[in-house]
Amino acid sequence: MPQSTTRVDELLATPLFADVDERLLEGVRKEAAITDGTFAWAPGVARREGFVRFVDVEAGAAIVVQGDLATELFVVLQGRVEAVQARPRRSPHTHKKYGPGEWFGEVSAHSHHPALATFRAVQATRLAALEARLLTQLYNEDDEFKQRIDAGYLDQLGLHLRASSLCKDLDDEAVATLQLGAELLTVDEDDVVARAGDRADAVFLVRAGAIACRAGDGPTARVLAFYKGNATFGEHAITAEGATWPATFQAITRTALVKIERAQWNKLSAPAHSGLVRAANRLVGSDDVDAALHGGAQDIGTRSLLDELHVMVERESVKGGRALVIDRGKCVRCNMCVESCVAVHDDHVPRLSKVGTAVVTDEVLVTACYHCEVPQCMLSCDYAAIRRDPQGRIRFEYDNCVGCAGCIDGCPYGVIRLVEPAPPAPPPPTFLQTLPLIGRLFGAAPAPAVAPADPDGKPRTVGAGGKLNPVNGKTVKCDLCAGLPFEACVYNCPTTAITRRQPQSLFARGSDRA
Amino acid sequence: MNLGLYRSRVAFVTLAVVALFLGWQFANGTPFGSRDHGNAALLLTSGWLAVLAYVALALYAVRRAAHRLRLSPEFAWRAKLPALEQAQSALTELQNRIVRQEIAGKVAIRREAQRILRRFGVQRVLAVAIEPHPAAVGLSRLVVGPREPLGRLAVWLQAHIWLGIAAALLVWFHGGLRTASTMGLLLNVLSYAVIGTGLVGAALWTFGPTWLTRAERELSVEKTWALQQYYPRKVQAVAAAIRDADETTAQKLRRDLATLTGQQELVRQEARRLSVLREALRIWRLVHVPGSILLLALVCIHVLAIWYY
Repeated sequence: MPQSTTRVDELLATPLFADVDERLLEGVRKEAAITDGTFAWAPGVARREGFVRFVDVEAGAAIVVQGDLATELFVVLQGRVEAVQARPRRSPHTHKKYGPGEWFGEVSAHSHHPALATFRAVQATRLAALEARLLTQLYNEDDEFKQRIDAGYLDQLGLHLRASSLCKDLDDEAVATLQLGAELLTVDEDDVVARAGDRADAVFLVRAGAIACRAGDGPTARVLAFYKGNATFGEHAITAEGATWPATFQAITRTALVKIERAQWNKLSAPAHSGLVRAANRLVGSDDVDAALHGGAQDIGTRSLLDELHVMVERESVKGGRALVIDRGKCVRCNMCVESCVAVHDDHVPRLSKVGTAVVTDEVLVTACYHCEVPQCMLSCDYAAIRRDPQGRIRFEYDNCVGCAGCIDGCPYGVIRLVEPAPPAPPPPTFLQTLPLIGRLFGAAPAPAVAPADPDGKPRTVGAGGKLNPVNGKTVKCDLCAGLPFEACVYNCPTTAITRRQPQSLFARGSDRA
Repeated sequence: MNLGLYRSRVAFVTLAVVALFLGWQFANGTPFGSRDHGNAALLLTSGWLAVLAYVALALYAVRRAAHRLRLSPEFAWRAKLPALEQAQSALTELQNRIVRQEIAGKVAIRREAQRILRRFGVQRVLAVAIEPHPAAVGLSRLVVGPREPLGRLAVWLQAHIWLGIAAALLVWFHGGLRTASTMGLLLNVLSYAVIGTGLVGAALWTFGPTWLTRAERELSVEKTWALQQYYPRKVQAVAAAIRDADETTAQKLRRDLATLTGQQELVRQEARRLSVLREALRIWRLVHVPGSILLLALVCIHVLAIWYY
């Protein structure tokens, strides 16, 4: 009997596969046989790797390292595995120990999220690893399997919540409170999750799939944003009681969501709740923190981010609202625009590329971000690392960016680039540590949080959200010099060759050459 | 032609100052640069004004370098993104109030906008202008943009050009092209070398971009760089293919190789021609920048010497 047959029987005997449809179990056996090389391929059929593999790891070895892009569900067959989550500015959190028959890795495999903890073998361990495609098939086609994965997921939800932009600063107690009231739901393609005008009473976290946020109906409907794995929506429910949904949220594919009702958020302690409201306000762009904290009922539908975006889109002020244009008839090729762009970014990577489309003889439409009406980059991002701000600008959430380069492929204008990750900056020293000469007496500046394990034996630092930096690199695009009182390229051009202008002026004779 | 370089309010100041000095000079009836006692006030005034003009001229270079080195004060005014976004959100709400006609009048709107900027601590970063609404008569529209506290570099350059012209004339009124002393000779020569190269630079920056754009219409310098990297690889690949090919194919490949090397040479010549054109736009700075530094040093010595003696 081949070894894979023994092992796959061992796998299928675990509680996770109890009462699962025999047809699906046969599929698992087939995948194990493919991996083992014992599967009899029909002539002419292209061969591929199997979706099930068996791994033996020694005691102390890391199976999955926090921050890595893990795409497998692991089932422990023998031995024991420990999950430890490294957190910025806090000691590592030992999440759980897994014994035979238990599983881990479903959060990352399901939502394409980088691993949320480091999983290390405590003793010599044998594991079965199921590839994400097989997991998805089992999850979608067998209710028993789905229920068990969901129950396990609820147990891991704390790890996932801490990785979201909304909850990344919450303490363990607050996360545990939210975990208790979380409800998992799955919606099919075109199902409406929330309809414009209805009362917003819950926050949703997207586990897998995608949600489109649309304003208007029928042919006039416009996509304002996309929400994919790890993104949250409905923060209005936290910021203001009685708020209504300002737009319709509809699934564009079969989508798994976590729903946490407003009542559950209200159970958080006062400091946790106020921190949460601040985070939510930042995400929705609301300005009235006090009113939100004290429950001032108001229809935020008139002032929300989405409403504002709708107005901006209607006025065509989002897509190419003010395009970056180089008038080559004025440009003396001094390169001051690029040098200024380098100067304002800490990583010294210019966001400006002078290559662009020539719209009229001497004028070039620079390939900087157009902040598109339908942001394809946002749709391509699986990590909730791209969002719109209240002015309609598309911004990167660098805490969430893993450098997967999905947005680069998604951007129709090719304005996004991947750069090498900068070495992580150490946390700032305390006041006493900055004192001249005697500062050292108060200890060295705190080192960056270090992940507990790494297969290469190299320490890796933890960024906000509990993810490891660097992963693959960082995507960059024009950020309009956010936060600074100028747009560096325009501000520092000595001949006014580079300007932001209304696109229609490009085609008008005697246009407004500023 | 880039005439925007000369569009500056400083031009009026320059013309007024120069007209004043011309009038004064003619009223005095003394020759330019005369050291007569009756001419002392004019000499001192023109001298000090020339020094001020030189300092203002140098500030353009300081402003330019400070930004590149991140020493410019605006870098310290960076606002936190959440505050910026909340302010923008509140300004959008103010715009909605304007549309709903709950607030009217430029003064009231400006005051409210300023209050919002102060509330979120972004008054140093954002500026709000109030314009007539394009879609509704009688309504106003808020235009939010970066504050640009030091003004655009282009404005500084425009002022730099006019102040340079003013400095040339002030030096003439002050020194009258005197070359009797070594210091006088050095100051005059350096002044006119620096100002002269500056004027050449201004002329080049006025006409140069048009010439360069016309010359680069078929092939830009950047493209020639890319092609110069491409051709050697391609030539190498064809040469390798010739070695492994049979005689018939090799003959065809040799023709391709000849075409390729011909194109490579054409691109090399074009790259050289365009690079020379580009360099011509900045060659004047070889004299202008070091000359300016030396001139400023000599002016300081001149002022101290006059003060002392």
